[in-house]
Amino acid sequence: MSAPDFVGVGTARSGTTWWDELIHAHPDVYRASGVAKEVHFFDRYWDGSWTDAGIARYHASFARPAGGLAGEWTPGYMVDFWVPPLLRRAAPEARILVLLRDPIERFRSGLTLTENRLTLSWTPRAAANGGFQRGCYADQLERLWQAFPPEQVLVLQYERCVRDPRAELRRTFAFLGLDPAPADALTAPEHRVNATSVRKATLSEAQRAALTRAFAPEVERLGGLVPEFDMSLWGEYEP
Amino acid sequence: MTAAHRSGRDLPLTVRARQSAIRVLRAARKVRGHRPPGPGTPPRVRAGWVGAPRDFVGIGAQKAGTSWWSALIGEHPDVHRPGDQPKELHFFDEYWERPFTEADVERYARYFPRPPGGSAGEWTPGYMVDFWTPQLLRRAAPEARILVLLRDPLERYRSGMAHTDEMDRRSLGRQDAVGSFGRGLYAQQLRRVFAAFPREQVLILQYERCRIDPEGELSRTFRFLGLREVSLDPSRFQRPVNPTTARKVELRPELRAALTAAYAPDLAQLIALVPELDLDLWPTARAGT
Repeated sequence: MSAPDFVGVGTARSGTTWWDELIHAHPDVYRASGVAKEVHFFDRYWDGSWTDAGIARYHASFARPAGGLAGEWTPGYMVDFWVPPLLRRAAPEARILVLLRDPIERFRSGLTLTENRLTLSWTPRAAANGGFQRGCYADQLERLWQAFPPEQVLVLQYERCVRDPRAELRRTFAFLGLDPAPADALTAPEHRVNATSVRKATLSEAQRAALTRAFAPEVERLGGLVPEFDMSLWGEYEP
Repeated sequence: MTAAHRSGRDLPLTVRARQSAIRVLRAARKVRGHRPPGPGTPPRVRAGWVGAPRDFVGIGAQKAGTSWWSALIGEHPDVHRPGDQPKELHFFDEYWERPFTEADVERYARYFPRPPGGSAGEWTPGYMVDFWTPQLLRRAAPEARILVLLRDPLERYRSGMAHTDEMDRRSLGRQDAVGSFGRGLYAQQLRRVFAAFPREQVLILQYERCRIDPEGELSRTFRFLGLREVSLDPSRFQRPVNPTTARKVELRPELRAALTAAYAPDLAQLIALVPELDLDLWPTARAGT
């Protein structure tokens, strides 16, 4: 029993289930039975009730044979401001994975029933603000990098993963210290749309315009933080 | 949610069933999030008075003393507000879901009748948080002077949680913490404000400085609003205690540390955006740097 080798921390509605499955298709990556992709271990500590006694319980989810790797991917960790420092204490050596998607598409996707399940009692206004906040990636990355050095964090772009899954998966495997070769052997790495998002929500033109303007400074800051991102893949934004 | 979603047309039965379950649950549960009544009908304009786009609009921040400061502005003899009209109009709250038209622009202008030469405004602290609002406000009140009152984000967070605490303590959870934290990301909010309004049209005040020197900061506010110099009775400067903040919630040390670290990047951005802020007045800023 020891700390996870990797932890995905972001972000919801951005293909993390797909990418997590591809990682677990690698022969050296293990997941103990009964352990979910999303462990949500740190969710409950929003009130400051964390103690380091929790560390051993967190580690219990990552049993694997010697030489094997194990990890989890809870997309809310990056949004929850209290999580990065706790994660650093519980898994100081873990490689951190972040998958980001066009924030407007992410927002739209969050309007489907899935996110409503979490925000059942919210007014439309509160839900809109919540969805917007989840797309302010630059703020989230800056907080994450306070807890983990940037070289310990891999920031992937969802649209690039869709365009060239094998190349991005090789990059992911190499970052995790795995043999990248199995990425080429995968037979069907293409993204299968999550069943819950089949029913697509739509945005009005005015809503799309409001989101585009409001996200513009955040996308620009993100481009400064992650220069290798190709912002032309995010519809409304050109570098 | 689309119109088709709402009407339930063209949806598979299971989706419709889940939607109706959500509707029932929404109705049954207490709706979270402050939802004040809309502004209602604009007041009638008295003969000889003008109904014009407001002169000033306060847009933030929640739990930062805006009721106190708005009341002090209202003490100025040239500032007018109909007796039954609230400090917070919440005019733009619903326009995430509704199109904003020229008729809405015209309607907003009618809320603050005053005699010629008089001044009028409102202060809805959520405007700065609602990402769609600065651009709409710019359309509706392009000349308005914009007021922002900021407070140490950790104190704002604590006070905001105390406010929620009054309403529904037991259901407080992760989503409330995330939401309350986001309302203290001032630099992020101001980037959107400055994209809509020129910098010199926005006055940024600090609650802590207003507490130390209410007279000086109020003079500054009056000057910014183009109001003549008046001196108020010093007894007016006493800040009445807001009943929702009377019961203080103390944050666990672990949470204070987490908030201090988490606000540091935004505070670094804030001081770059607003160099005249005195971050020495904010313990969170001192500890985080």
